[in-house]
Amino acid sequence: MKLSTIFASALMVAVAFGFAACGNDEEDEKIPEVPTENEFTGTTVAWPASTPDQKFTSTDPVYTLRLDSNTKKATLEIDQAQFMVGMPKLDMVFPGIDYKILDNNVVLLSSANLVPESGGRPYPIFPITNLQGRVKANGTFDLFFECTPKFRPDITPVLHNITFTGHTAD
Amino acid sequence: MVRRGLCTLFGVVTAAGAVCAPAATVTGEYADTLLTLPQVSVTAIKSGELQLEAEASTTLGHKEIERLNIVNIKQASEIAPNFYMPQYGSRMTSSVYVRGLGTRIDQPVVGLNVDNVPVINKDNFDFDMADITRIEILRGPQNILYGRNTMGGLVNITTLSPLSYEGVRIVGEYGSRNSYRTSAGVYKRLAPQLGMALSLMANGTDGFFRNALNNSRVGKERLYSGRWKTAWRPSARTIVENVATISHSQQHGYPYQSVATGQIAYNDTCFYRRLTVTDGLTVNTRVGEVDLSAIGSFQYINDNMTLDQDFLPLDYFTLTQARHEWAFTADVVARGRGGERYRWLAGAFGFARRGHMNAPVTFYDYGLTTLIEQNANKLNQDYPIRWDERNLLLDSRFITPSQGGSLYHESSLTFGRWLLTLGVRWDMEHTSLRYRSRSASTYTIYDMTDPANPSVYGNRRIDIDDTGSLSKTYNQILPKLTAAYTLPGTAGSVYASVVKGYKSGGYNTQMFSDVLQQRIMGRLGLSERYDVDQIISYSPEKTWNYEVGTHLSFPSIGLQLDAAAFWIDCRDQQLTMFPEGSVTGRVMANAGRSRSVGAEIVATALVGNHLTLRASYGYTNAKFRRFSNGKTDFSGCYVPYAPENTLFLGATWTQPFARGSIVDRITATVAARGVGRIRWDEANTLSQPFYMIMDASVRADRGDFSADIWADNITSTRYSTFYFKSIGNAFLQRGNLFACGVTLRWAFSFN
Repeated sequence: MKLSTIFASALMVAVAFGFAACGNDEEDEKIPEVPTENEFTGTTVAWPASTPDQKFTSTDPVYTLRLDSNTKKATLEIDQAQFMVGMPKLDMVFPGIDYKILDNNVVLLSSANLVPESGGRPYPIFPITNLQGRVKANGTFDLFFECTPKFRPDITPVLHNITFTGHTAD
Repeated sequence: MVRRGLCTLFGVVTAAGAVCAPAATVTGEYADTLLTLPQVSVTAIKSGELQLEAEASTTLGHKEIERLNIVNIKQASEIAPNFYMPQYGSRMTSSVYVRGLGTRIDQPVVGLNVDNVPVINKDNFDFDMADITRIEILRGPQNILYGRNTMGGLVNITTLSPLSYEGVRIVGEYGSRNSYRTSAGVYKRLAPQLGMALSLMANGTDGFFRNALNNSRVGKERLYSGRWKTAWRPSARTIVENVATISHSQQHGYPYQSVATGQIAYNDTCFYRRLTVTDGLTVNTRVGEVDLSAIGSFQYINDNMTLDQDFLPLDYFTLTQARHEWAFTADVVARGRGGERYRWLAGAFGFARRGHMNAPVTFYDYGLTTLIEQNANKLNQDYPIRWDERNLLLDSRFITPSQGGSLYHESSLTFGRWLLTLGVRWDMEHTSLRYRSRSASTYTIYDMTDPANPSVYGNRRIDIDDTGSLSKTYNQILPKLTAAYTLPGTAGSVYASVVKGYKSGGYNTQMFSDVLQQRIMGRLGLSERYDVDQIISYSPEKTWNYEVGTHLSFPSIGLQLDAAAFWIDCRDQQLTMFPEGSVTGRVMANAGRSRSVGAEIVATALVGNHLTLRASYGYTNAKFRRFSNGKTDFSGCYVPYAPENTLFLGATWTQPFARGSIVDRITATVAARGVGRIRWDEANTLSQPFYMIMDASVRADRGDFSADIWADNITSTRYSTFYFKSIGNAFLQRGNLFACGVTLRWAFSFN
C-alpha cells in the first residue's frame, strides 16, 4: 500500500473519530446556558380556589431560583412571602424542585408536593402542591402552585392558588 | 395622727404669734424682692425686662421661691399657667408640657438655663439647687434668641450671687418618709469687686412607695451637689461670672403601679445613677453704646438607668442605658443701647456634643418563652424552637456626636406707643449616630411530628454583629414678628406676635432594641424588613405660634395682671408608629399635625401690707389634626400627656411683731395646684380628671433664724402623674400623698 494511501486512510479515520467525538459531546449532558441563580421580582396573586374573586395581590415577595446541576434539583427562595391578609411575612424556601432545561434555554420547574422551610425549620402547616414554573431565556418567570394551610385542627384547610409573574431584576 | 398633730402644731405656732404684739407699721420689705444682677442674667441680656416684652412670662422671686420651698424646676410646675412638669420615674425623666406641646423622648420643647448655662441634655433638667433667687418661665417659642429646643418656652434659673449677698446660709429640713435636705453656703467678697460662693447640698428620701414583692422602699434617693460661684466686676462696665457645679444622685426604683393589681411589684432591680459636672462662664461688658456678652459652658453627664422593663414579678427582660456625654456651648451677643427709636440685638451660638452609650437589653426565661419562642412557634408547632441558654443579650452601643451653629438678629422700632420687633435666626445642626448591635446565641429545633417521640431536628446559631452610621444635617430659618402697644400712663401694654418654633431632629436610640428584635425574628424566618434609619430617625418638629396678650399694672391697688391667648399649629410632629403591614416593631416618624388653642391669665396682688396673692390659670385645647400610626387614625383626639387645665392659687399672710417679741414675724402660706384633665393615650380612652392638691406652711422668723412647718397635699388627694403600657400591661405612677416636715434656716449676713 502506498504511503499516501495510508496517510489518507489515517486522516479519514481521524476525521471520523473527530466527528464521532463531536457527536458524543452533543449526546453528553447539555451545559445549560441559563444562570444557576436568578432573582425575580414581580406580582404575586393568591386566592382561595373556591372563590377566585377574593384575590390577594402583592409585589413585595422576591423570588430567588437556584439550580443544582449535581442533584438536578432546584431551590426556590421566596423572601417576604405573604399569600393572604393577616399571614405574617415569611422568608420561605421550597427545596427539592425538579427542573428541566429545554433546548431553547427554557427552564421548567415541577413538584407534586413539598414542605417549605423557613428559618431552618420545615413548615408542614403550609404544604405546597402542584408546583409548576417556567423561566424563559428573556428572564421572565411564571410560577403556579397550590397551598392548603393547616392553621388549626378546628379550622378546615382551604386550598389556595398562588401565581407569580415576574422577571429578573436586571 | 400625724396630720392631726401637725394641725395642732400649726395652732400652737399661730397662738404664739398671737401673744406677740404686732408691729405698728409694716413696710414693703416683707414683699418679695429680686436679688439679682439683671445684667448677668441671660434673659436680661437678650430680652431685657420680661414684663415689657411681647410674650407671656412668669417670674418668681427668691422669697416666693423660699415660701414654696422650691429647689428644682419640677416644683415650679403649674405656678406658671399651661406649664406642667410631672413627677414620675426618676430624675432622668424630665418631660415638660407647655400649651399642649411636649415630649417624653429625646429632644425637649422647653429650654433650661441655670446661671446662664443652657442645659443641653433634657435628662439633666431635674436636680436640686440651693439659694435660687429667681425663676423665669417664658412661654411660647423662644428659638429666635435661645435656639434649639425652646419651641414651647424657656425656664431660666438664677442662683444667689456673692456680689449681692455676703454671709452664710444654712438649711436643715426633715420630713415624711425620712426625707431630709441640708445645704450650707458661704458667700464672701474677697475684694470689693470680687465675690466667691461655695454651697453644698445633701438630700435624701426613703421614697413614698413600697415594692409589694419584697417590701422595699421604692423611690429611695440620695443626692449630693456642690456649687462654686465666682463673680468679678473688674470695671464699672464689665462683670464676669463663673459657676461650676457637680452633682451626684442615686435613685432606687421606679414606683410604677400595675393597673391590674393596684400594686408596685417587680422582681428585678431598677435604679438611676447620675453624675453631672458643669461649668459656665459669662462675661458681660459695655463698649460704647453696645453691650457685649459671651456665655460659654462645659457640661458632662455620666449616668446609668437600669430597669426591670416589664415592671412585673416575672423574668421578662431588663434594660440598661449607661452613658457619658460631653457638651460645649458658646453664645456671643451684642446689643445696641444707644437708640431711642431703634434697638437691635445680634448673636452667634455654637455647640458641640458627643455621647457614648451602652444599652443592653437582656431577655430572661419568661421573656424568652412568651415574647420570642411563643411567637416563633405559633405557626410551627411541629418544629418548635427553644433557646439553649435561658437568657438572651441584645447589646447595642452608640456614639452620638452632634454639632451646630446659628446666627440670630432682632431689631425693634418704636413709633410713638408702638413697638415693632422683627427677629430671625438661622440654625444649622449636624447630628450623627454610629452604632454596633450584637447578639449571639443558639437554639434547638425539635421535631414534634410524633408527639410521643419528640426528637431534635437541628441546632442553629444566631450571630448578629451589625455596625453602621447615620447622619443628618438640618437647616432652619426661624422668623419672629411682634407688635406691642404701650397703654397710657403706667397701665401696661398689649401685644401680638407670630413666631416660628422648632424642635431638633435626631435619633431615638431606645428604638434600637426593636431593630435587634426584628433581626432575630428575621433569622427565625419572620420576614420583617427594616431600615435602621427609618425606625430610629426623626426630622425636626415645627410650629407656628400666634399669640395676643397683655401686661397690665394697677399700682394703686397693687395688682399685676398678665393674660394671653394663643393658637399653635404644630407640623411634622415626632411620634412613634407601626409601619403598615408590620407585625412587630415601631418606627419614629414625623407623621402628625396638631393644633393647640388656649388662653392663660396670671394675677399677682399685694393687698395692704400683709397679704400677697398669686393666681394663675391656663387652658389648652390640644388635638391632633392628622395622626395615623399605621393601625389607628387618631385625628381629632386630644394630644396625650398635656393637661387641659392648670391652676395655681397662692396666698401669703405676713404678720410682723414689735421689737422684743418672741418672733419677728410669722408668715403663713397656702397654695393650691390643679391639673387636668390629662389623657393618657392617643385614643383618649383613659385619663386623669382634674384634681387639686393643697400645700401650706407657717414660718416664724427671729433674727437670722427661721423655722417652717409645712405640709404637702394636705387632703391626701389621690392622683396619677403618668401612664404607660409595657408588653400590653398598663401602669400608673401615683402622685405623692400627704407629707409634712420642718425646715430650719439660718442666714447670717457678714454686713
